[in-house]
Amino acid sequence: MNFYKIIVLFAVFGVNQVFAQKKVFSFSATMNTIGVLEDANGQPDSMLNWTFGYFNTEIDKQHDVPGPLVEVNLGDTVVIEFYNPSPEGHTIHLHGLDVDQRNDGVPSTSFFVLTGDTASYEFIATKAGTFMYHCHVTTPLHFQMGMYGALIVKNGNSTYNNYGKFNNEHLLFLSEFDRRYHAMDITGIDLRDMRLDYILVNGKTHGQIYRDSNEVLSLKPGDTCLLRVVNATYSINRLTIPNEINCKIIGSDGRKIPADIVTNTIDVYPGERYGLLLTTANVIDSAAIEICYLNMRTQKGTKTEYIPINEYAFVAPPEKKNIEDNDTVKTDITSRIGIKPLLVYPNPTMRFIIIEDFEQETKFSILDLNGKCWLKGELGKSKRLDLGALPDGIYILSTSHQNTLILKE
Amino acid sequence: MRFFALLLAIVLHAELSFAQSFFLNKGTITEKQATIDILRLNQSSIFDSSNAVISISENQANQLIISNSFQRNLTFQIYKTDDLILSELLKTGASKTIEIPSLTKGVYRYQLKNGIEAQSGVKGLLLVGVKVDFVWRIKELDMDYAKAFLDDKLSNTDYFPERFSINGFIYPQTMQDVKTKVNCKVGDTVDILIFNAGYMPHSMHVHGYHVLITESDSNPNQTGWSKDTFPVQKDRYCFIRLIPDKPGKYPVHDHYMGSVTVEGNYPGGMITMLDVSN
Repeated sequence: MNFYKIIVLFAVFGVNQVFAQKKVFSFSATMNTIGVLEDANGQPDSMLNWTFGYFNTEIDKQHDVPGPLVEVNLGDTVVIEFYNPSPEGHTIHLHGLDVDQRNDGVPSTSFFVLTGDTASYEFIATKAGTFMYHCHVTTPLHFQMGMYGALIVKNGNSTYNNYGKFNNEHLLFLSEFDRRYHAMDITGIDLRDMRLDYILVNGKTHGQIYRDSNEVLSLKPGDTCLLRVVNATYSINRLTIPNEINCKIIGSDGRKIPADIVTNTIDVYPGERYGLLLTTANVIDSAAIEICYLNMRTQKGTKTEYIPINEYAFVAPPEKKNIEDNDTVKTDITSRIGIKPLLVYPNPTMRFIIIEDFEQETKFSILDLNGKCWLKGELGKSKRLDLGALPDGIYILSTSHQNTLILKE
Repeated sequence: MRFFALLLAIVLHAELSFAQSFFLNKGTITEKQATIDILRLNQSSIFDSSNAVISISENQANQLIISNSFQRNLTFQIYKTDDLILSELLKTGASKTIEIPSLTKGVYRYQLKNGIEAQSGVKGLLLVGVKVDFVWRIKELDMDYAKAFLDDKLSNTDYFPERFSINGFIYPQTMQDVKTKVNCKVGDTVDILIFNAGYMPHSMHVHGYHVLITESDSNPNQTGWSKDTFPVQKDRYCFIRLIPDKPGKYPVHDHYMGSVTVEGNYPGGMITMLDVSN
């Protein structure tokens, strides 16, 4: 191919189309994934999930909620091979990708992928933007159980066709869990009745978000961050962006909108996706994006989660709860004896820990396993302790609270 | 000559502003083995579970004759978004002629007065000079609310509807109704008016296509957007335009998953279909 032909190809098809590839993803489904979330008290909460994951690879066992991120380039031919070894039929619906009927993933109009079957879905990524995939079999149930994931069509450093340039990006794949569905027996459950026990941000809750550096949104003066928001919930997701950040909506559902909208409050409805460009003129620390879930039936806020900006181990405000919300009452040992457990993170830590959830001023000490005291003092509602001077090793955090000793490593 | 032309115009105008008759009918529906009486505004005295669409001409006075067979007096109202256009008392057991003033072209809604009466679910579209290919009236029904209306009190329960419908039909009934299921051809321009006559928003998702939101009082800032999923707020409407480029059957449904169930089972409720042929 000579130089002129290359030029013509670039002019006719664009750079992405010339370098478009065939991308093949091999997925499988499971209905026995055990996931561990963190509750509002910092305690682990295990539950049964149904999931998509990679099949027949070294990371086969990493089935999780959400399913793997499918990331392709504009113009790519995308093939998702799907093997279903699970006990029930599933499909993959390519939400927002405008595929033909065969590849739409609706069992009654496309096809079922029954137990032991293998099928493939194929499409050409003709629009850049943020999409999702999910199972469309008994959708309220399979969606609740975790069978979904994000699908991103990239166009270099532009969000859409040569518009919305950014130098970093962050995905907020928002979903939710009702604990009752993730118990072993869901016989007789009413599929209209979805209660919000957990807000999931990229599959994580509470401290799992604040302690994970991958979940920290990075934004410095001079940056333009593309924030991709996916609502895979049963709720309205109301995002409140801190005032020191300039936020504009530039697109939705994989399309540029006619005119950018400057706003710091964005309501995202179930199934919608938004593309937001964030910039700041000032250095930001100790700030967070607030995500409030509003009940669709009442349009009232129920629960709130926070996305830390720039600060690893962000300290979130106390969780907001609506008294009308149907919370599941946990009966663990600490709640029975009336002691609120400590929330300590990050743990393990390299430098510092943050301690939360004290009912009152509380004395503390940090001891090594020989009983030597390395640090002591008094905690307020929340406290950040610098452990940089301590040698590597295992320590005991000891506090006195109503004559009850609480220990955490 | 000018006199006769004026006379002809007056006569023609008088003929066009004819009165339309409607009936507030009580009928029974069944859900979860429970039956309940509901009230609907119908074009005949035979009960139909969907409220009528009233169409009138723009920029001229119109008359509605409404018969109220319900056991209480009721208040019939017409709104443009949040603006009350008129409010008329309908006495029990009587017919009332309502003079509708000249209205500009657009989408209006009628309903019974907010509060106890609104729980009846009598709420619908008043189209003034509007022509559109399909109308989807999306709505849900909470039987506790319907019962509270019958008992002449406000419901004290959380809103938790059992029945989700489009044009009064729940899936798969929607597939049998030619005004609810969209049959069209590749290359057609199909305009659809979606009106939310319920108590909660719905997030409508279109399979296979993005649609252009051509007008919206639901989310006005989304006018002109190309979307595959979009909210329609309570008491609000939007127009969407579909220009299909490939054949096939593509569902349209609320992505709030509670709405795609019937009696707690899937699929049901607020689902319809685009059926595109070559």
